[in-house]
Amino acid sequence: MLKYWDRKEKPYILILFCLPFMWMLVSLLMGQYFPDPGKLLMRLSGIWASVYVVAVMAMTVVGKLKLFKGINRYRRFIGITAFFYALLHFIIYLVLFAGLSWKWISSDLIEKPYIYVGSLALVIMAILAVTSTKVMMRKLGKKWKPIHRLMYLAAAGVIAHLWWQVKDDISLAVYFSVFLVPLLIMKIPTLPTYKKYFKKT
Amino acid sequence: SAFANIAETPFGKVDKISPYDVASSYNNFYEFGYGKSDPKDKSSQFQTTPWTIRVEGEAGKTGVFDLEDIIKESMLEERIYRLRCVEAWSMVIPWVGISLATVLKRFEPTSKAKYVYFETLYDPKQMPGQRGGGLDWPYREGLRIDEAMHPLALLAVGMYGSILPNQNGAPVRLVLPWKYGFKSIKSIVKIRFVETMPETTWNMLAPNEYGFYANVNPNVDHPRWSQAQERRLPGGVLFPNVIETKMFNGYEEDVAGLYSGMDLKRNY
Repeated sequence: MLKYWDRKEKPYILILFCLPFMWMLVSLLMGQYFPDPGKLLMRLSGIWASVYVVAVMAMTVVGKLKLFKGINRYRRFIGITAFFYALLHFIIYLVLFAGLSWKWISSDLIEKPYIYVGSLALVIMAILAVTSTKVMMRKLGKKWKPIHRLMYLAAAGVIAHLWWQVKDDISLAVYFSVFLVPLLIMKIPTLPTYKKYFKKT
Repeated sequence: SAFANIAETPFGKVDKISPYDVASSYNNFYEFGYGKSDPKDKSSQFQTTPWTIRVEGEAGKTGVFDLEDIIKESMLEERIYRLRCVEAWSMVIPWVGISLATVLKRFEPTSKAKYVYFETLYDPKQMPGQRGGGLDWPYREGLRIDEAMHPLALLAVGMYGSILPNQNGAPVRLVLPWKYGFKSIKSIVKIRFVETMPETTWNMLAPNEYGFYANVNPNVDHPRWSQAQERRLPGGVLFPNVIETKMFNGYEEDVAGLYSGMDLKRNY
């Protein structure tokens, strides 16, 4: 077991991270989201994706505290979980919401800017998930960090997507903005340092 | 309680009716909360008797009327209508009611009555959703007078052969099958005949998303999602029942004449 998992607690953390997914899956199969599961599940999966985006973004602050130093080693794990729920959100849209109707999906994806910002976040998280392994870290070397700082751009996409989806109830958009916006603002002073990455690479 | 002797009509006999449980548990009725199950969960104590409607404005007969005097049980008929929500889901519901025109004509609207304005009850004690912000309460809707007088426009007091469940807009609501569901205002307490186009709730909140007319139109998308297709409820556990959305929700033959010469892309 330990050969595959570098730390023995990781399988349990995996199960913990999967709990919301399993809960949604069981509820779906039990008919809890009847009669329009797509609409409700899109909301729930979106909420969980946003929760994990907040969690991974909060690492910059929380991970620096002495008490929580230990959680830094799970940073990539949490990031991949955020990607998993974002992907799930997208798949639920495709299958349960739009019924895999190309007519529906194409007109949404191509014409609705509200979907662009969410898709941008999803694509960035996909790239980060693929490059999150130790092998990729070694391969990318100094480039790894600037690539993974794209997560801030993804988080900005999540905020825009949340505000854009508001019909009437702004509470979700407010809750997640309260966490994400300060974390993004904190990063503004570090923007000039990006120049050096571009020069070297 | 079930109605006796509801007159049958030829309306909608071709469509498969959505189950009662679906139609009475999956509702948008923000007066009772944002969630689809909130209306059912939070409206059980809602008092619908006695119920009066105030009639105002450009009409010969105005004042406060008892609902029982406006709609007699002997006049009721059943109409099976497709209901298309602006959120891209739809159902088929057998409503019980009477033609809106029949009721409106009794108030003798004058030549100045170009529009009809409707209002939902405002009572935050009974309607918890009204205690929060979001919508500008009370809920307001309106129709051009010719739309209101169209034979398809129904003033409903029941569905599935019985009185309306509270969550479906008891005791009296509009049903306008060629328009998006939000036009079919629920729990009506006020009818006002007016000369100019009235303000309506969703149009006030987001005029670029919800027009005054709100006719079902597969060619005019909501800014954030396509209206070309819809999920007919209930669907399967995993796969939704996606069908094509029809112009005027399939009532084009009946109502297209109301809008001849109008640019429906602009008057959405």
